[in-house]
Amino acid sequence: MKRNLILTAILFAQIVSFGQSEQTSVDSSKACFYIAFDALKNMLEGKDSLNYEKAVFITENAYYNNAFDYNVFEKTLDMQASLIDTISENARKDYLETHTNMKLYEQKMLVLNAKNWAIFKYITDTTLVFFDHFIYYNEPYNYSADDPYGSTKWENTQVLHLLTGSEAKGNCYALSVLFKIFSDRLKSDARLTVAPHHIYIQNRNGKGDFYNVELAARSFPGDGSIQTLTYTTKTSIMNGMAQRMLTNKEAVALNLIYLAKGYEHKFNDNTNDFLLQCAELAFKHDTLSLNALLLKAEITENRLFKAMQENKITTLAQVKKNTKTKELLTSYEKQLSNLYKCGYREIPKDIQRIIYARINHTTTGVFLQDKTPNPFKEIGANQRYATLSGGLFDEMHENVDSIEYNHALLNTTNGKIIRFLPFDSTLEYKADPVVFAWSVDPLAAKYPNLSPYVAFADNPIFFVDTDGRDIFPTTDFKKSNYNKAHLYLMDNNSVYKELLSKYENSPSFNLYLGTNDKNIPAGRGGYTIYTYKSKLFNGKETSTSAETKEDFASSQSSGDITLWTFYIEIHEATHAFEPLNPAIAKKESKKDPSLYGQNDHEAFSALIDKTISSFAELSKDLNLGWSSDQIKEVSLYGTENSKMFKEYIKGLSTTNQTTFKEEKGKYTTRVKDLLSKTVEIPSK
Amino acid sequence: MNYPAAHFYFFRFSTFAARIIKQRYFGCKKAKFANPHYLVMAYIYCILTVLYFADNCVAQTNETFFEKARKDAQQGVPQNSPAWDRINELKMMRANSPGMESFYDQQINQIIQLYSPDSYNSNSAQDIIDQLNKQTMQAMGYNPPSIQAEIRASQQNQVNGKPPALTQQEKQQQQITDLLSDVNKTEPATSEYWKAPDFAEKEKPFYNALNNIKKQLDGEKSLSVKDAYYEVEYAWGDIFLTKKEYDNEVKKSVAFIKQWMIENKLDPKNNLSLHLAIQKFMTDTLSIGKNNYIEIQGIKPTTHLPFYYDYQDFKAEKDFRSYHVTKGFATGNGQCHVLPLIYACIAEALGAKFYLSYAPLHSFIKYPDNNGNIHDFEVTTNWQISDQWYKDNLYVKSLAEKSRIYLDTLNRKEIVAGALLDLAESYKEKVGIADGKFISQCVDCAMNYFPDKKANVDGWKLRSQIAAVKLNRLVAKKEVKTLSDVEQIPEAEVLLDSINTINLQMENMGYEEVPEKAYEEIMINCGKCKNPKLLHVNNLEKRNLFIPLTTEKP
Repeated sequence: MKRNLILTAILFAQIVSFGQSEQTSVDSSKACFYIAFDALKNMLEGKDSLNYEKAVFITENAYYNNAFDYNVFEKTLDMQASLIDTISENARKDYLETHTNMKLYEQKMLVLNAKNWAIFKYITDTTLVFFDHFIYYNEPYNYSADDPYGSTKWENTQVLHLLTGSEAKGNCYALSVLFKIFSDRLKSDARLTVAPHHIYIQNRNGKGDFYNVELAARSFPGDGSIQTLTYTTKTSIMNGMAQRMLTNKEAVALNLIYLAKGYEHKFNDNTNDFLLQCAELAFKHDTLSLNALLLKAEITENRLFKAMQENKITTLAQVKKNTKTKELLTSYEKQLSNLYKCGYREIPKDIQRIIYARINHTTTGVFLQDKTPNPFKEIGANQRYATLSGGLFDEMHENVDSIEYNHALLNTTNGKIIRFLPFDSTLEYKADPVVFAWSVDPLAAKYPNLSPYVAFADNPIFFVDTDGRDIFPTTDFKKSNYNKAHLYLMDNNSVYKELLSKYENSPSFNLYLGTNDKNIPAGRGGYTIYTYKSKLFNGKETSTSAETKEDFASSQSSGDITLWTFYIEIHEATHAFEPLNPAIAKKESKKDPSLYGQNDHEAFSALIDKTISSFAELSKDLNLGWSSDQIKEVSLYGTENSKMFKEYIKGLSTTNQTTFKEEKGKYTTRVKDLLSKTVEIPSK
Repeated sequence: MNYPAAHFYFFRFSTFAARIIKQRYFGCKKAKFANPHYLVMAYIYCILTVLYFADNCVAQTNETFFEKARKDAQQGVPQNSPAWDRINELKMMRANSPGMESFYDQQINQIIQLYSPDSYNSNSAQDIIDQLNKQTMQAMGYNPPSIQAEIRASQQNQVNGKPPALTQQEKQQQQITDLLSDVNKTEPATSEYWKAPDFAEKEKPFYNALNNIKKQLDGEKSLSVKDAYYEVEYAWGDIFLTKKEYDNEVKKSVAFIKQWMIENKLDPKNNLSLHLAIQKFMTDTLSIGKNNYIEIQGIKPTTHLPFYYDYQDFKAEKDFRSYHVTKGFATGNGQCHVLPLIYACIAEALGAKFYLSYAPLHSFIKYPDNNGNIHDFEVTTNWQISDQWYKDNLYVKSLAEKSRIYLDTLNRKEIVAGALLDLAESYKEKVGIADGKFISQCVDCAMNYFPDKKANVDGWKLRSQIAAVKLNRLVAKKEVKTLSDVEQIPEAEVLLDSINTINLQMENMGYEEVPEKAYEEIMINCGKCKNPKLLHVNNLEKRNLFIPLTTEKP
């Protein structure tokens, strides 16, 4: 009776709490932000060790109510960093093969250079890596060209979203941060650099000089291009606010801005004290932080507008009469004139439209105007003037009479706001001045030979293929006979392509075939289900790998192994199309380990038509001259456990009046003879 | 401990224990309970009683739940964190809503748990689970892919197996080896030629020039770019123009420009008009003294031809005098060193406000407009060019701009100080680095006038060359072969240190050598000429740009 009473009490409490759950969930998710704030504060104040990767995770996780596990995040990055390391090592070894007389210093620089190049390649291009007995197929991370500021979807600024999102999309901040995280892990010394409106990477070339890397546009613009596109003045370069490489601490401090912005986007609250706290802490640890100053100014503006709305004030004259709004106005004016003195210029709206249209490959809403300066205008003369952008952008804006900041038009001589601008409805996309995320593209293509990665004969602008039609296999991958077969099938065999396309198109797909494992006992193919990416974050298994063994082929036949490798590839690809449920596999194998895979080949037999047509195509391509019966027999090879196979042999034995064993033996020799034929893989 | 239950048992058993003890020690007649087993039980109850009281006393002084929570949480977070506000808020709500205590406690606990320092640390539980799974799969005859822990370990091994990351020391060694091989080509390592008796004679004109330029910088003489460069070129010898001819050339140019400005109704007091006129004068064919084919009284009708780019010897390899301003005035051609200086001489004489600016392997003119913006004029090609264009095309980093080694606005004093560096360069070319005293004097004096007393690449390069030459001689003298042996020589240590500091200094200022490919491209562009006639002109031949006109009707 007593127990019952207690239970009722608990139930009651739960019912009551259910009514309040909405409010409390908001509160607890706000608490996540406060916790993240404290964690970053501890790092910055030296109470905790400075860890950039962790800082990024903490910041972004708060947005998701701390739903992600840091351990899992780390492991995902571990895996990807290992792949990048493999790509870089292959490239480095290749380079050393042809350049034998390298000095020690140059060799060491090459290590760094190769690593940075590999990170660049991994992020921007489709790569095929052979690592730890598996082949990993990686699709590039994409640039969110339609939402560079995360205004419509804040997730676009996050690394977590890049890693887990179905589109693997992010803005230039997310991409650069990912680059920096990989670089920190591989110790390749790449730095995060801030320009007004933009964040990018600088890393060293083979000589040790720094180059700008633009991940969104996959190019290497000079400082002049970035200066032009981001409306940077000489003043801000001279005082160190613009185009500044961040130290680790400053990079961690930058996270506070994104924490504040995440809070703003999540709770739709742009005047909260928490935002101000973030800005102030960021400014305290990075006094040159333009983002912090801009965030502060933005909060003041938002508060001013809120106060105006509350007091039903619309004109500037009324603002000056009300004590509260007047106070906010003076503080805002002060902040804006300070920004002007620091050399910060907001990109004018018309230029914003040009850039936005350009990165989205459209021309809508763009009005072009020649912005070439003419110093002799006042004396009525005109001399020819060369600008970097050919007059497309204003390159001389050191001193201007009035300037727009957010929704205010500032008179630069007396530091007073002239008027407030209407919320521009013609500009569909809202650019957020606090979030530095512009893409730098238009001028960069002009100087393609300026690449930090020349050692690898790699000019990314021309060779990167983001659709993945032309994948980039690492060299050791190209060398192996097995892999040659794989690449050949990928390029030429439509059925094979179809079989694997399922995984290629799957969003979180990142790998498939494995090979060359010395530990797989000879005479055994097989496949296993394994994911490293999606599983970690979503708990779902969406990708599959099939593993085979080159030695396996040679163990089956003393002759040529080329056809054997084709056979294995097609066989395992068919498996990959309809993977066995791992739970069933486990259950089966518990009963009898030798039965593992029986179900597997039952599933396989349902797809036998696909295998047959794939072999038919191969036979035609390589002029093997196999009859349809021979093609069928090759397709069936290796499915001894299945009913279908047994029936086929039984059928043969009844017609030939032999025993099952005899017929099976005959069959095996027939297929082995077929597959031991010598062929050459045609080069592309 | 459940206190009400304890109370209940306590009272029940304490009476029971008391009874047994009473029987045992006070000789109660009912011996039924006087069993040793009961006795032990009784003692235990007694001990429990004592413990219960003791526990109760402690419980009285115990901290409240929140204080305890606060204490726990303080392990990882500062006391005045925003999360405390939330906790306090919850505390209030807890106090105001009786019956909801447990719910709020849970909420508060959640926050505190998140605060615990372990919340972001990786745990090895997942690793263990992975390991077990793998073992199971292996037992089934399959070799599953590596688990994360293994990958981490293999990655660590890979990193250890590779060459270690680059050290600053190795970079320095490389730089020094390069520098030594460069220096070895021009300076003999064994001869002490500066001790020869006629050496002082050779040096003398250079010292004269140094003293005269120093006087300008100290304010004893009036500041003049024109005169400073004459001193430099006079010291070299074999000069194209005498001082009088040179002065006259500038005077003539100034007079011509002034007249042209009057005829074209340009205000000579307006800085912009002056620059427009100089630019026209240097790059265009202009005529004066004629107004609609009618001669203006008192003015000789004259035409002035433009200066042209010296395609023959822009690197001054054939004749060092190709670097001379006097040669520019005498022959009417020059490259990106001479032409901006000619512009500077004329602008100085006209009283226009201008600056000289450097870019890697290049120099050009900057001038202010009336809005406070500063524009660049490329004298060699007659283009106004934006800073951004220079940055991308001549490979200037923002860091270099920030430390003011490139794209800076050098005033007249700084240009004259730059003349000292040119003097040092001439000295090096004519007599060699020698003991380095003269060059050091020039550089030390010049450096005082550049921004932060250090923002000049050429000065630092000269300094490092002097040190390298000295080191080279030392190496030859001691007959050492490897750089690590050099480090053993105590005198070499100072030199090595100084070279390393200089290299570091230049790197910190954003100095980088122009990429090889880019350098080639620039040089090809320099040699590209649209006018084939200019390729075969003798660039050292004297040529008067002022041509008298006869008045004829067309």
